[in-house]
Amino acid sequence: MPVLAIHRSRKLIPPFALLRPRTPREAAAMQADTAGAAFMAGGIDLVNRLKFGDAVARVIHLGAVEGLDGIDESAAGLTIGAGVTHDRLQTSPVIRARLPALAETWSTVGNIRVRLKGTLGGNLMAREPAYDFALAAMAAGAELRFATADGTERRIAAASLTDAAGRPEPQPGLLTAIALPPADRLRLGFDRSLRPALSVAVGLDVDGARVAGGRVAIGCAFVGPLARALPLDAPLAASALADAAGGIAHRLAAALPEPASDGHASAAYRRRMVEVLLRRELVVLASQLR
Amino acid sequence: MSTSVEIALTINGTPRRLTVAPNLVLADLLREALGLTGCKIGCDQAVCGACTVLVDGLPTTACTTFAFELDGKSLVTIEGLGDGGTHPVQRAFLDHTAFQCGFCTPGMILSVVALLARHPDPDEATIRQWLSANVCRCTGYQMIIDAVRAAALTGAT
Repeated sequence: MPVLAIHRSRKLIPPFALLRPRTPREAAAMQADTAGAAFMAGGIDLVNRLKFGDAVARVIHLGAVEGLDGIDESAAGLTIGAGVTHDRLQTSPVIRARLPALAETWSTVGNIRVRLKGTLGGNLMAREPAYDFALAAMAAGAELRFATADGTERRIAAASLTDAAGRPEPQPGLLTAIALPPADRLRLGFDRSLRPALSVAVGLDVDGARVAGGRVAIGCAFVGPLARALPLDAPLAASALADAAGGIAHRLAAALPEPASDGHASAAYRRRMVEVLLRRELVVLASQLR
Repeated sequence: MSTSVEIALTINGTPRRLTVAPNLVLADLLREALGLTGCKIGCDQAVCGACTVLVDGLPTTACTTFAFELDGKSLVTIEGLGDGGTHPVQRAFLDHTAFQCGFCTPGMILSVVALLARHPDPDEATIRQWLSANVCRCTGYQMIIDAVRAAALTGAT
């Protein structure tokens, strides 16, 4: 029986205690100390969950935590603060110059109010299947930096945010930054045209005229965002990528776990469209590498 | 840890100090405690834009913003726009009959004010893209777009 009505309202938001840390470490310690505590940055995701009556005993509001909103470039790559909003990502001169595909895609994410308030960190850590930034981070091969309660920094690959089925892995603290590889060695492509049935992000590691590796991240198709390495047998000449795209996409799609079947699309359709969208994106990226 | 929160903010130009529960949503503060009912509740999920208000000049959904988040900020609702008179964007909406039932109009007008602050001379694509965040149930979009263009020509912000 399909769900005919969803009971959600701001009137269902349960009472909670409010915590307002000043530093990432303090925030991480507050979360470690308390079962049922949740971080809140822009609040887009959290407020939505609270409206369904989700019980959160304490909300750790990150509005006063400094150092989460930078976008910095160095020889090691781009570092984006977890508190950067979607709008800032989209309008950042550095992002527009270095990763134009990312800036262009983000001009269509959500609506202007969501983009102005929602943060990349919140979007990513929600691990919701239809959210976008986890896909971008996974496809880019990003490294996520977390502040922990003991003051140390933990670094994990974005691909390990979810397990092999797309389920969220535990969070090691407060996400403070997303580190991307140098832009001259990274090519990104996105296809969100089939949302809410499917979205696909592709990242290629480029080494001169060769494609050394790559990843695809898939949204809207599993319980959470899912990352897979592109099945390349060996580094590939950029000029050979377009011809190889069909085979790469077919092998990757065939090896995926069973996608969801729901009111938006069947599992078979989603698997087939992963192959189609991935092949198209690889061909587009190949044309840009020539 | 706080079970009630003191906030200081400016509402339509007037400094206010309020004590709010952490789980109080801005839309309820405005409508039920302050009587500012120009903030409408439509979808209650940040999509339709009927509850749009300006926070530090930026369009914000009051239905998904907690009141405590307004601490230290400046809030403008439709009641405070125009400083007691008719704002140029309101005048353009009147001149172009850019409303029918009027439910979406406060949020629509405040969104347009924010749009013109960022893009003083927006083309139609920019207007459409920006206003895709505001739903008009009467589907009177063309007159709305005409009104935005007219407001831009007056230099309204």
